[in-house]
Amino acid sequence: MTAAAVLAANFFDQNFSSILNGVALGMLIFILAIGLSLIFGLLDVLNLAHGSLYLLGTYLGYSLVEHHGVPFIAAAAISIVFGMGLGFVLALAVWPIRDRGHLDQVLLTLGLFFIVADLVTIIWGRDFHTITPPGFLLQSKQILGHYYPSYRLAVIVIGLVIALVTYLVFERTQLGAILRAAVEDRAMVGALGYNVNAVMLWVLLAGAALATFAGVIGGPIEQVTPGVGNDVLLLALIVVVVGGLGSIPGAFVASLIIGQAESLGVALGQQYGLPQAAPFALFGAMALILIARPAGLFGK
Amino acid sequence: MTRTGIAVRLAALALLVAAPVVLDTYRTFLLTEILIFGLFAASLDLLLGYSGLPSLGHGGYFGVGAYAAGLLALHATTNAFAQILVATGVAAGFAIVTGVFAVRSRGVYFLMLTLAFGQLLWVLALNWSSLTGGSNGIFGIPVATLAGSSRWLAAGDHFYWYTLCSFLVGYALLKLVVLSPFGRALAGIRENEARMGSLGYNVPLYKLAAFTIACSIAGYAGALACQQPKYFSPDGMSFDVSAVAIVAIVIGGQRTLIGAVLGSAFYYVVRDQLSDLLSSHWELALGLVFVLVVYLLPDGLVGGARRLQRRFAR
Amino acid sequence: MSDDGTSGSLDRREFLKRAGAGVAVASLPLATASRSWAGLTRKTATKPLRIGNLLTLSGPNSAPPIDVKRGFVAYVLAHGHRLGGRRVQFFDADDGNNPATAIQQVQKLVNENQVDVIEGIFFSSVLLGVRDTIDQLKVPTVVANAAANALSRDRKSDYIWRTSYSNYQLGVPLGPWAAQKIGKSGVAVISANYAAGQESAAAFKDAYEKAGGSLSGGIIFTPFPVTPDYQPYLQQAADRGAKGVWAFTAGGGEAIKFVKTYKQFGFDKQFQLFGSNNMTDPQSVLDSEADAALGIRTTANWAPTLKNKENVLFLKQYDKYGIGEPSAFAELGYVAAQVLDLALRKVHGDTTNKARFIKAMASVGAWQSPGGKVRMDPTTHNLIEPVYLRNVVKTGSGYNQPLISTLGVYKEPGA
Repeated sequence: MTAAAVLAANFFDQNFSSILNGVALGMLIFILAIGLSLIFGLLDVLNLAHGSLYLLGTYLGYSLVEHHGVPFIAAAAISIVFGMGLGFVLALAVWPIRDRGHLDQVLLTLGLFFIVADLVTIIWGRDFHTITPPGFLLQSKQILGHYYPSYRLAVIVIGLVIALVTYLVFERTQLGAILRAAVEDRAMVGALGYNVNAVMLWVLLAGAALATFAGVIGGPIEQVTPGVGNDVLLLALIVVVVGGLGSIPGAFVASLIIGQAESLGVALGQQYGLPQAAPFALFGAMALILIARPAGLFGK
Repeated sequence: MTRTGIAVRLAALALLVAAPVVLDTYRTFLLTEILIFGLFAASLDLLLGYSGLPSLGHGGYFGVGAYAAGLLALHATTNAFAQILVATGVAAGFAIVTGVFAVRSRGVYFLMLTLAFGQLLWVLALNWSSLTGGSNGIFGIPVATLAGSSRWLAAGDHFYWYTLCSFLVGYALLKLVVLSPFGRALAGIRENEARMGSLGYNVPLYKLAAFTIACSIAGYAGALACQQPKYFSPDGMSFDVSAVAIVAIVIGGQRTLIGAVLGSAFYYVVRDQLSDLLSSHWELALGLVFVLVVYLLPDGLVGGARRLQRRFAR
Repeated sequence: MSDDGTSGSLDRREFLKRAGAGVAVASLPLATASRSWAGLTRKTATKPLRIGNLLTLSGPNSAPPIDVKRGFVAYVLAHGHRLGGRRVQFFDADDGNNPATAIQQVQKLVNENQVDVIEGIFFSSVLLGVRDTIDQLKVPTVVANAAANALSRDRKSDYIWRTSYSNYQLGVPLGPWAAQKIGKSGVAVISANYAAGQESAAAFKDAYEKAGGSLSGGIIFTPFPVTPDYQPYLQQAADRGAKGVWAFTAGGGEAIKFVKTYKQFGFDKQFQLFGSNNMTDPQSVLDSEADAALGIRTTANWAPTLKNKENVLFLKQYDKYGIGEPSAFAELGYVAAQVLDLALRKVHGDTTNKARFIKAMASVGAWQSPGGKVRMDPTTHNLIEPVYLRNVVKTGSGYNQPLISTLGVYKEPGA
């Protein structure tokens, strides 16, 4: 083994938890970001209410798991159906203004964001909660000589599976081909005889369902608080833009980078005597990437 | 400008000058805040509306100006004009350094890059405790002085008139920029960047100039926002501040300057009334108002007013 | 409503008499009342007392501030809807956790709603922001929770009185305790990097060193307002070989994340966690932390289990909301109302003479609060109060924090 490989192995060993935490955070944000990215790419709508979908998902999960004894996995499944319903409502809301500028959409979705944030406090109160993960994921697991919480490993696995499925749908199916074409040029796909409106509706439903699903599986890590929607929306927006608008592979890579900036970056700052850098990590990383690549990593 | 147009403007000005006589102390205070925030939002309209550069980090430069003015007051001079000038200059400096990078991107990318810059400035204010006081902010700021005396700006009404004058100067500057050949070139760039480039315009330089001017005026408004309460903290330059300015522009109507001011007034007054009516649930009602504005007033308040005017003119 | 449950204060007889007067005035024609009760004949005393609740009533961080308001109102309701013999009328003012909004709200409360006093103020930045405006408008204010040291030091105002604690008072009590129980070395500090954390952590460090301890390295600061991952910070404390870590976290979700990370990554096997109360308060935070919080030691100025009569009255009245046990923040509101009542009674409910009212605030002396016997310090405008040590345990009904000892009575040193 070369000296560099030994160094790398040592580095990985030393920062094992930080690196995995970064991946877990990245995967959670990625699941949320898929919908945000596609809704922007296809519908050209900047959906600031996407964080609200996460927020509703996380509170629904909390209610089901903590108060109604619904198993965690069932709650996650229910949240997908719930999310599609919310997606439909969102579709109805943005439909009348789909051809107006981004700013009108920003105001509308910001309005929805305010409404949902307050409705959540009316329904569930303002207290801080959490969601208990399923029993078999409560303990820590030993991998590569380190103890690591099983639940976070599960989130990483779920994120990777969703990434793979999304990739296959996009690259290997006819639907994926239509979607990719529609991101490039909506009118052309319509001219080819496809029902663009139906495609857009399904994308919205799927994106919303992923967002509420992210809310449930994020509950045990990010906690259930009235403000959690803002935090995750910001991260998802960053990931979508850093990755390149409408690009799913871009969002995937960007979520890994942003996740690492937030945990490995911080850990390294601690180790090398630069703790002051930690609060700048997120926006610093984003600014540097956008300066180097003004249209994001995978954008054109 | 039509004769009615001039009459309306003069009447509005007269009302603004007379406001403290008519309004009670609290409403005068509120109006002072509206003028300060309105100028800030109008400076964003120069970017967002006129230049097609939607910045989501404008609050950062507002904060830079506020801190510059406040720190100057604490450590160097209480002279109100000196504070405003320095605030404007420091904000311009920050704008040039960040703007060089920002103007290379477009649309949502510009939005997010400016968000990053605004947030980085906010994080800086929050963490550079020795200079900014961190989360506690800067406090104990002496009253700003005019002609060496603090008595002019100590009372609420006097401060209002001072703000009104400062507002009019800042607003006039923005209007001049918009109406100048430079402003017309910005409009051209917004509509068709490639064409303006081929016509020989240095597009990035024009954009950078617009960004710098807008951020300078934001810093100018920031100085006022620190002089009025004699306090400033990172909350005054957070993401919310930038977002509310965009909301004000969309509500008022973009590319009008005055729309940004009216939108700010609308936001402040509606929020004030709603928080009275609904206590802790005013956000719900405010959200509903946003939704209604989008559906019912496609071009904002100014657009709505123009449509009304046309209907009556017929 | 009977006031029999209220006693134990120094001037108990005076208290009962006044409270009785309040009830009498409510039921008798004013003319009769004025002849019978000399103290209440002034015109001002017959007008309702206008109180502004200046608190963060909306947004993600509004749960604890709303508790403060509930506690304050609970006291007023428990005393015939009166303070100092005057009927109370409340005006809500939402500061949105933003000093600029708070300044606007103070202007509104004073100039538009014509309030006689302001109560509340939860966040330090809000307090420092409104300080000059309150001082300039000369409106008597009782602060519940906002803890910036400066308010008792160079930013002290004649009109502002704090019935909670300063950050200094949050940090100091565990210093000697740590030196004794954990050791003169092997103690590290992790604190959220904002004013409250910085000031409390500095106070802890001083007190620990004064007790002969020597801290394991400098204070480890975590980003504020949000720290995405606490693991590296806890790891650093572990790397320094800490046996105990004094911690200060931002409240709510951040506290839950911090404590869960402590347990999930096995740090609980390496060091004891202890610190100020917002790590495990309010109850919903503790319930979310669940097993991860077991064994964490925190300080508090009050506990629902205290058996003094004032606490019994507080719990009884709070129960009428039907929302469960009060939080520590609710108690802060209750004490704010108590001290206001005591001062108002000294001036017979008359707030028009500001100088006299302020003098009354300075001389309220000692009284029985739900947290024990407390005293208003006239030099720092801050409470002198007992501090208890708590331990998180699991009982049949859930997670609790019984008091295990009294750490002593602490005061803010002032400038």
